[in-house]
Amino acid sequence: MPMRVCAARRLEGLAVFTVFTLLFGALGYWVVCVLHVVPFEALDRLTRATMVWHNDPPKLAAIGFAFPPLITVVLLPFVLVGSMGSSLVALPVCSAIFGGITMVALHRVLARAEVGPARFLLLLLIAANPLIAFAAATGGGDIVGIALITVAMGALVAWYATVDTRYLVSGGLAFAMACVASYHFIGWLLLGAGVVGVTLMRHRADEGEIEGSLVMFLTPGVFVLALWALFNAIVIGDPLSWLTDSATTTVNAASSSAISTDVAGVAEQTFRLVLAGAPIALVVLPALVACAVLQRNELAAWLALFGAFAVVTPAVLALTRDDVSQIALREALPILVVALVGIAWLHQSLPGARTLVAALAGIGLLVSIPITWNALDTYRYQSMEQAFHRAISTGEDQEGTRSRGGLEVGVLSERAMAEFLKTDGRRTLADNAQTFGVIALTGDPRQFLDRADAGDDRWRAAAARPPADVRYFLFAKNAPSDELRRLYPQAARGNDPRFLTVFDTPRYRLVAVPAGLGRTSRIAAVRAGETSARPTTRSPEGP
Amino acid sequence: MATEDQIAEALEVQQRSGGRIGEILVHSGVISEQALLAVLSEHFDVQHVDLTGFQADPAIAERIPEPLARTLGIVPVAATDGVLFVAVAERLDPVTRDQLRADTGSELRELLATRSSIDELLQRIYGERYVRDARLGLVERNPQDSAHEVLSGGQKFAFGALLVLILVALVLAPLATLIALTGACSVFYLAVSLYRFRLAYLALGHKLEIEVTDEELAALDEHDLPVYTLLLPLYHEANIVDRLTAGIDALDYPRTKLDVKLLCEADDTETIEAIRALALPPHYQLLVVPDAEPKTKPKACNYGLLHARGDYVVIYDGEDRPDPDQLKKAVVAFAKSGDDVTCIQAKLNFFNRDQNLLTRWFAIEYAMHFDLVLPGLDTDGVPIPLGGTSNHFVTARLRELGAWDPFNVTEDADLGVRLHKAGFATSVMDSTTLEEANSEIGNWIRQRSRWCKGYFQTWLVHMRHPFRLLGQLGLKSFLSFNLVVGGAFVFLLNPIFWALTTVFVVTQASQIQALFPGFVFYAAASMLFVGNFTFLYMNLAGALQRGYFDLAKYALLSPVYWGLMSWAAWKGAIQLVTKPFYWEKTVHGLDRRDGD
Repeated sequence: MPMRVCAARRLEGLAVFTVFTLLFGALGYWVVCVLHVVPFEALDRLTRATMVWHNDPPKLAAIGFAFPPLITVVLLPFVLVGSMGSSLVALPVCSAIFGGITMVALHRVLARAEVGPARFLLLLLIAANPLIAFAAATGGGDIVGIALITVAMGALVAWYATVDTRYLVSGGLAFAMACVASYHFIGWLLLGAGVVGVTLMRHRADEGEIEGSLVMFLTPGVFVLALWALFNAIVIGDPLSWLTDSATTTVNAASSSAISTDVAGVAEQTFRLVLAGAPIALVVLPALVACAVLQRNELAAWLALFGAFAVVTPAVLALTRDDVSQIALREALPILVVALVGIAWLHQSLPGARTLVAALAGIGLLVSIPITWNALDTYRYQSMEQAFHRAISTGEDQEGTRSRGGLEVGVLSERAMAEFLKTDGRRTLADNAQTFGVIALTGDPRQFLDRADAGDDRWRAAAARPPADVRYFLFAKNAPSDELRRLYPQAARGNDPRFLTVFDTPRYRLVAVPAGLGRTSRIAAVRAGETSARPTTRSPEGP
Repeated sequence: MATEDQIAEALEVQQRSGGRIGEILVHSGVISEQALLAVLSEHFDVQHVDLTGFQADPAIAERIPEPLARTLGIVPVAATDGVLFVAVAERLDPVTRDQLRADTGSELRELLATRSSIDELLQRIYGERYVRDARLGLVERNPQDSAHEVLSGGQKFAFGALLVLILVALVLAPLATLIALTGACSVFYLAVSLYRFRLAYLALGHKLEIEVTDEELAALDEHDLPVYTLLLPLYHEANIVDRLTAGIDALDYPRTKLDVKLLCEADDTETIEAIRALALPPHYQLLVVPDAEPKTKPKACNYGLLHARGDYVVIYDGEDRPDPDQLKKAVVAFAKSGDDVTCIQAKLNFFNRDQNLLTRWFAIEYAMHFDLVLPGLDTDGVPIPLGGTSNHFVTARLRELGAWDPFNVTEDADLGVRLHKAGFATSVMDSTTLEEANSEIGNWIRQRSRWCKGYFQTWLVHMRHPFRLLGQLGLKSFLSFNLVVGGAFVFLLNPIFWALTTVFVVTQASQIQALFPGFVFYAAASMLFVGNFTFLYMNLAGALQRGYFDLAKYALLSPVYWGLMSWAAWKGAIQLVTKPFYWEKTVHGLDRRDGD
């Protein structure tokens, strides 16, 4: 390819990246930092990433072993400067960059499919999709996987069209990284391998070429998953626990009982999901099937299969986990990606109807915007989408409100506690899995003695007999799984006379560690706490 | 005598490629040089002489300056009052004759002799001078670019000071010093890995090398083809001489325009005899390099270059099998390239890659290096460390540059850097030479230890004046040089880090953990996982780029191969101190099937 064309293409890609990253970044800053719509899973990742750099000692293991690690790893560069994390700016910046990458990948897919200047209009309509805007602006981890899977799908389509090894490499790498951004994408990797193997077989490639190409394609995925399993085996003793323990996003499940988890109920909810989050897929996927049948277009069939897989995955999870909330609104994003790549492939495959395909795609994307916008407000299973919807609609600070299903919005409690601790500066023992918001907003995890510092066993020992420099315990009052709260339940409630409440907020309680705690056994200490009569709160209640 | 068919065939060749009919008959082995000489002698009515074993009087020989005698293919053999008897391979033109007469102050009497016998006589007379030029040409012309001393004075001081500094730091703050060293090594390793990945990805799926189409080859007029010199250094390789000449004969290039130099060391009588026994046509010339240290391939090549008659010159190893059209492709490639292109590197790979696991790994590594890394470097416009063979040069520029450094055991890589420093460019062309892959571990280690030692040498030579080098190369090429040539140092680091990792996993030793605090650990972990994966995946990509799909699965075992590389690197590093100029000779002809 002439160098001039390459340079122009790069420039175009750079322009697309810059424009959309800035747009998503600006929106994200407004929504997250000004209107305080902060998904809690994003806050958790932010804390983990902060700990990787700023803990004492810095701790790679703070990334955790259940969640897909990449969604935390990608935040690392943005929290190298602690204030980027504590001000929350890192969240929209990071997700906006991945939003930009998603748009560049889609732009490349459309350009390769010979969609003319209309592709820029299509890109604008895609970026205006409220679900994509939410993911790309609010710092959630979903956009990381979406960006990678878009790159991967683009590479796979490009490989199918050119059988160019380069795309096998970029596709294999992108699928591999997508697998550790969302474990759902492991299935996509296997489907991709199916595309490679079957395509080569259909082209009568020899056995060696099929084998070599599959090795090339699958090696990155196998490598990263094997490595992840190895880390899990070494650190937590179970190489595959991440497959069963993971859940990437906090989703409200308050009303999940309203829907039956039988096949019919799940199917109905799945249909609602597609209709709400990726309505265009309802047209594109059948069109791909028709194209596959009428044109004997193999890739159209494969894309339809990817689409079906994306639709079926949350449904299967809902059935196997007996939990309809698995069919969350964010699960529509991968379906949307397949639909968009499908549009490009239909455009390429139907030379006589390209204008029609582009026009229909534009109309479909335009119509999708109000449908999905409405879904953010009304769809039953979601994270902070409703708060996002409300924030944009009203332009009002969402601090203290609740999103659909009861999720609390805002970080006022965390902010107040963090400010107090920052000013006070004394060492505090806390369960970081529940108090991550406070830790993140202090921007200085060194102040905390937490489970990430030296592992759970040492932390428990320290909780039972705190070292001399630990002056406070921090409890997450509303989190039953807070390990510290389990050890000192009365203190967490403010009922233990030995523990003076120093600072209190609706979600957190900070208590002073009494001198000599732990000289008696832990059990004795706990019992002493259990039998204490009345709370003694000297400090004013927090906001 | 020649048959009618042979003459008809020779006429056809003449019509296609030009040249004299007699020469064509000699070069194609139809008649001997002596027979042609007799005919020419009769035709021109000029006496002919047999110079075999003739010992010329140097004082007479030197009446015509050696460079002129070598260029013209003449040598004064006797003198009487006012007459100088000059052996000539072909009649002198009147202008040259008059010039020589004026220069020597004597009448010239021409005596016809075969070109090969004149060349041999020149070697007998000037052999010592030639070998001196071959040894010391670069040292005298450009000592700062020669590896004749391992470390320059400045480097001795700088490295000494650094060593003292590290030792002092180790005494004062041992842990902090070790952490700093570990961190620096990790960052360097990671940078090398990522840079190589970038180069490979740049080339992957592209044809960055110069492509020469069949149409372009067909459009070549053989009359216009230049004389092409082939340098073939041989040492203890009598067993492959016939295979070698068969390979050269298979080249699609007019034989009258070939100038093949078979370069043998004087003590290698076996190979010399084997070549003589073949009674090769005159486009082959046996050059026996007089015994002198260092006994290296570049010294032999320099010796050959002194006698090169071609506009272009290429090096092949004894076991090489270049694509038959490679010389023509090189001519077209030079014509298509910019004026600054002085060297065109053909790709290398192996004909015996399926022999065993080692040859498969070797083939994968070569595919990665020649099909991805070198084209990537070419595209980036940064120095290309040349491969050992199949590099085609513009002869005059190569001479101007001082040719190869005989003290550098990877003279090829070094020359690539010197070309870049001099402002000349190197390109890669889409033509392959198949070599014999080392199939025995011991032999492979020897060869690889030499390569590693040579890369260390090359890095040290060019980093004698880092800031000057930065000025000569520019920042981009400077960094590339340090990551590609200096990248050989990572093979020294590998076993250290592997050992630390293994010991830590087994013992959980806190002392090792202490070496990797926070940021250092992150860099080291990235090096371990990203770096190793990058190298592995690049090998895989190289195999696929070359179309060696069947080798892909063997690339997954590459880490074992790196273990061998590290072994060789350490051997090379130790030898750099103990025997810096020693040439670890690779034994060829180990391919059993080929031998069969």
